[in-house]
Amino acid sequence: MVAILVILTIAVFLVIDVLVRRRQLAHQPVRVFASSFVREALQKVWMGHPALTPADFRLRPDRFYDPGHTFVELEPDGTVAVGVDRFLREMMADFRLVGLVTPGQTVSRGQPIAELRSNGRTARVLSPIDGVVTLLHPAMPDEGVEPPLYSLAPQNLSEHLTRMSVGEQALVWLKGEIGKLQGVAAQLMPKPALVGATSADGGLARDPLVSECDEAEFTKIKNTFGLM
Amino acid sequence: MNRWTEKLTFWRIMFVIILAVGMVAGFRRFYLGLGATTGLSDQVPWGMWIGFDVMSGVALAAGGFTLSALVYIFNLKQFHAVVRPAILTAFLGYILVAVGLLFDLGRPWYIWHPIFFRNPHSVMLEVAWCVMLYLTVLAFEFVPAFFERLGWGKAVKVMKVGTPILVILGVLLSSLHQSSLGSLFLIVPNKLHPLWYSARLPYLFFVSAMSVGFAMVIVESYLSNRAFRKELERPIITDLGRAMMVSLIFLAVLRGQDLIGRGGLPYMFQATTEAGLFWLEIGLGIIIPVILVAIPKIRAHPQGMFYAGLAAVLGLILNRMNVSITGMAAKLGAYFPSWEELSISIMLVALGFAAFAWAVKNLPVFGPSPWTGTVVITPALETERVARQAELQPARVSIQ
Repeated sequence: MVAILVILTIAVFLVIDVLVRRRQLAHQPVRVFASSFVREALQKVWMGHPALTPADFRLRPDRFYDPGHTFVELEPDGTVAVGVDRFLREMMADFRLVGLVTPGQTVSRGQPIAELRSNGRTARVLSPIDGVVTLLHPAMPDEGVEPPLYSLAPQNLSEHLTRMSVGEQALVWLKGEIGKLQGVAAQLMPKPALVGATSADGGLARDPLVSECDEAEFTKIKNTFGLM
Repeated sequence: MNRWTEKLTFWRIMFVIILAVGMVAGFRRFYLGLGATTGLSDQVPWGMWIGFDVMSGVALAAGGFTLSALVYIFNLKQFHAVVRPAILTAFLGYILVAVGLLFDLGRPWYIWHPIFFRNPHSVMLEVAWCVMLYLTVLAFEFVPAFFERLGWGKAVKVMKVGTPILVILGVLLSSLHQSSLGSLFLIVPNKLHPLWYSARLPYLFFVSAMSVGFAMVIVESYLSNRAFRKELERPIITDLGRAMMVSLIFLAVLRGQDLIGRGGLPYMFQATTEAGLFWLEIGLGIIIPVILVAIPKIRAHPQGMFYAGLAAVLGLILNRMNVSITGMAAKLGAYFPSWEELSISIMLVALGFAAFAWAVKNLPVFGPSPWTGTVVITPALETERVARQAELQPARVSIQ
C-alpha cells in the first residue's frame, strides 16, 4: 500500500501540474502580430494607400517567394538558400525557430523543415523545393534581411520555381497575403456591443493588432498562410 | 503588482509550503526521534525513506553513469549533449540520498562510521563507500559547469584532463553499488515475496537502473524545455527513447527468465496485493513505455516521449518500493508512513527540483541551443505532410 501511496502522491502532483498548466495556457495571450512593418503595410492597405512598394514589405528582388512563406535564393555554386520570409517572421512575433532536418537529409517540397514556436503555439514551415540539405546556417541575428536557414542541393528546381513569385509578382502576391491578413485581423478584432464590427467603418487595429487568439483561431491562421 | 508578487507562481507557493511543512517534520523527527515520528518499528526498520528516497533515488540517478559510459567509453558522441544534465541529476540525486539517509539513521551523527569502522562482511559497507566516493566523483564531474559560468578557462582545461579518469571511476563505483543495493536483499529469502526475491536481484537492480537513466534524461529535458526553453535536440531524445526501449525489453527478458527459472510464475496470477502491485510495476515500468516508444508518431513527439519516460520512472519507483516494502509486508507486518515521513520525502524531491531549476537557469547544463535543433521526419509526419499538402494545393499561386 505504501507503494500505491507514493505513486498516487506523484500522480496527484502531476494532475495539479496539468491543471495549472491548462489554466496558464488559457490565460496566456498569443501575440500574433508585432508592431511591425506588416502592421503598417496592413494599415496602408486598409487606408487604400496608392503607392505600396516592395520596400513596404522588404522584398528582395533576388529571392523567390513561396506561398508557404519561405524564400529561395539561388547561390553561385548551384545550391539554394532557403529561409522564412519577413511576413511570417513578423506575424509570429517573439518566435523561436527550431530546425527539423539535418545535413545529408533529402527533403521534398511540402515537407516540414522548421518550426516557429511562439507563446506555446507551434507552426511548421514547409520546404519550398526538393533537394538534399547541404548546410545548416548558424543562428544569425535578423537585422533587416532575413537570414537563410538551410542550403540545399536542389532537385526539380525549375519546376518548383514556377510556383513561386519573384520581383513585382512577389509584391502582388504579398499584397494578397496582406489582404488575407486583413480578413483574419478583422475577425479577431474586438466587436464592441454598441457599434459592432468596426473595420468596415474604417476602424484600424491597434498595437498589438491581435492580442489574443485561441488554438482554433491559430489553426485557421496557419491554414490561411500555408503552414502546418 | 510588484516584482515579488509577479514572481509568485503556483508552484513557487507550493514549494514554500512543502519546505515549511518538511522543516517542521524534520525538526520533529530530530527532536522526538524515529519511534515517535515514523511508522517504523523494530520489525519494520526500513520504510519510505529507504524505499523511495534511497533505493529509488539512487536508481533514478543512474543516468549519470549510463550516459558517461556511452559517451566516454563506448564513444557514442551523439549523446555528448546529454552527459551534463545526466550528471547534474545524478549529483543532486545522490546529495538527496545522503540527506535522506540522515533522516533515516537512528543516530545520524555516526554517518561517517563506515569510513573507519569497517565490517568487510557487510554489503552495506560497499554501498556506503561507493556512494561516498561516487558523490565525490560526481562533484568533480560537475564542477566544470561552475568554472565555465565563472569564465575560468584554465580551470576547465585542467578538469578536462582528468575527465577520463573521473568517468571510469564513476562508472565503476556506480555499477558496483547499483547492483549492491539489490544484494542487500539477498539476506531475506524468507521475508521477501517470491515475486521479487531472487538470487539475481543485483543485476536486475543494475539493468533496471540503467534503463531508467535514459528515461530520466528524457523527462528532465521535457520539463526543462517547458520551464526554461532549454532542451535537448530531438534526435537525441529519440535515440534515448530507443535505448530505453531496448534496455527495458532486455530487463523484461531477464525478469521473465528469472521468474520462470525459479518457479515464480504462479504467484503472478494469484489474487493478492503483491500480484496486483507486481502487474502495476510491470505495466508502468516496462509495457507502457515500450509500447509508447515503439509507435513512431509518439516517438517523434516530445510529449509522447515524456510520458514514456515518466511511465518508466514510475515503474522503477514502484519496483524499488515493492522490493523494500510491499514484498516484505506479509512477513514483517503492516507499515504505513507517518505524515512526517511523507512530508520530508516530498520536501527532498522539491529541493531536488529547485536545485535542478537553479542549475539549468544559471549554469551551462544544456549548452547553447541554436535554432538548428533537429527532428527526424517520421512516416507519421510524412503522412501528415501529404494530407496537408493535398489540402493546401488549391491555394498555391503560380505565374500565369
